Amino acid sequence: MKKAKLPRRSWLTLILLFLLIPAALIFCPRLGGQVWYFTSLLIIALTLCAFFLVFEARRPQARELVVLAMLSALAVASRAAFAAIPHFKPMTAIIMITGIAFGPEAGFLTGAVSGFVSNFLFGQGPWTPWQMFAYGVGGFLAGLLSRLGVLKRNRLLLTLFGFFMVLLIVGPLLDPCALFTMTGEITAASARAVYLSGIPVNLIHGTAAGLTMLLFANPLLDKLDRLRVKYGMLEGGQ
Amino acid sequence: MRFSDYHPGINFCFFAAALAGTILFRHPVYLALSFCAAALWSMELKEAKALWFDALALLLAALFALWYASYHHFGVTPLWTNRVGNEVTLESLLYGLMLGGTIAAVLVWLNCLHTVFTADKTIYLAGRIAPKLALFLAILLRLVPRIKTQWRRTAAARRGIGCGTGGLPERCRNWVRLFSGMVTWTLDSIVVLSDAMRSRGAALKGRTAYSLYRFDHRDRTLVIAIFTLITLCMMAFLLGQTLMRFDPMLHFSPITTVSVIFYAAWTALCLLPLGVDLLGGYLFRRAQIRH
Repeated sequence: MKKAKLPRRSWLTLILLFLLIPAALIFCPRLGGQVWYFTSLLIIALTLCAFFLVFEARRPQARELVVLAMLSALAVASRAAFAAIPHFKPMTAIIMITGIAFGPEAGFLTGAVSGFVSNFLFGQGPWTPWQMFAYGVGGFLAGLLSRLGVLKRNRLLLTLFGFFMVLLIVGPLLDPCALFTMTGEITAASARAVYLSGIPVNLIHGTAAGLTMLLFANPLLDKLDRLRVKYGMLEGGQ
Repeated sequence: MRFSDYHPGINFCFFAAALAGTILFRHPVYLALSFCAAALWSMELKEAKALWFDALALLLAALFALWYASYHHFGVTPLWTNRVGNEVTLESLLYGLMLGGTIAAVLVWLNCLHTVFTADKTIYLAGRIAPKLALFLAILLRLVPRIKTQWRRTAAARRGIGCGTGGLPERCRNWVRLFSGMVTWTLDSIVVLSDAMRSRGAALKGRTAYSLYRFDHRDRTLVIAIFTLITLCMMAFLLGQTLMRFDPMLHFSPITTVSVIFYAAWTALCLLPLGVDLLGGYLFRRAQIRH
């Protein structure tokens, strides 16, 4: 794997993902009322902008969107299959695998869409935009690290990556939702309480992601690589 | 001519109005009328099978009311004290029943919608507004039956060469292999499928799709009838006729002559497709006897 320089549109994507989307997450709830549907729609719009930046030169093809939709469906199905075990979500790992195979923007889109769609089964609420964003970032970072050559396609490495990614990044991104919605005002104490109570949840979630990586990362990556090579699509992964 | 034979746009408008009314109107009379009309129509569409579905939906509504009342305790009329010592009130029980009833009525309407509003109508209507979305929907809607067929074929082929016929571990391994194969096949086939659809010009702007539907005088009559009734129901909504308060005590607008007119309009709207179906059946049978 060759180390690649990031193209300018990737920087635009980075700005969009890490400045505008957190801004939407913070300012939209200030508007008052039940605005989470509006917030989630805004995030979907920003996500789509980020994703379309990749296809600046050529128009997005239906077959690429169809494949990402299929992977989202697979991710949602994996979350639904383990609904009986609380917080055990293999979905995150499938999103990260998508990011590794098809590039960071595709990973983000799949994550955000999966978060939104799976909540039609599990219930929408103020947590929806947070989940969309957290899963999106999971897919994006997996894709980014893989493209930069940091994340090798090693089974053990992928397993550890899945576990720590959820524990350190995706999980802590999911926690502030409880902080903003459950507690009246945000203090250091309430933040600590929310994050501490989130640790066991994130451990279970991380274990799910790690196990899924261990068992499914290689077969699924093979399938997606095959698709990429065979049809010459979404060549952002490598 | 049955309701499902009318233009898909009319079917869509009717279901949108019926579902919106069922969800928005809080008044128990409107809700009961909506549920009864939907239940009657579902029995006309699906016969005995729908009866079970409707009864189950009602049972779920009642259970939801009990569950709701045991967790929410607003209101001024205590009925009994539950095991943990909280009072179950008439208001919260009725509010729970209203919520459960709304869900039940929506489910029964959706059951009718599933029979009447088939996938080809969705594609037809979506294709006029967003051809790309329609292409996407066409591929996804067709995917589920295609996966089922392919799964059966693959499973049969594997059985033919003696895979998955042993004990439980062997069958599990077979299942995992089948699943893996299906994922590859599905991903591959949707790429081929969407390419094929594109090559045929499915996503081009301004493409005219073949359809069986036309808009004739019968459709115009039905549109006028539906929109007159929708206007009356909207008047009822704007005049506060469809409101109901549950907290702190039950309060709804009294039943007057005007409100009876609104009830009649809502009933007529909800029963319209059933009436169209029954009338169509009657005319058809009469024509058969005559010849």
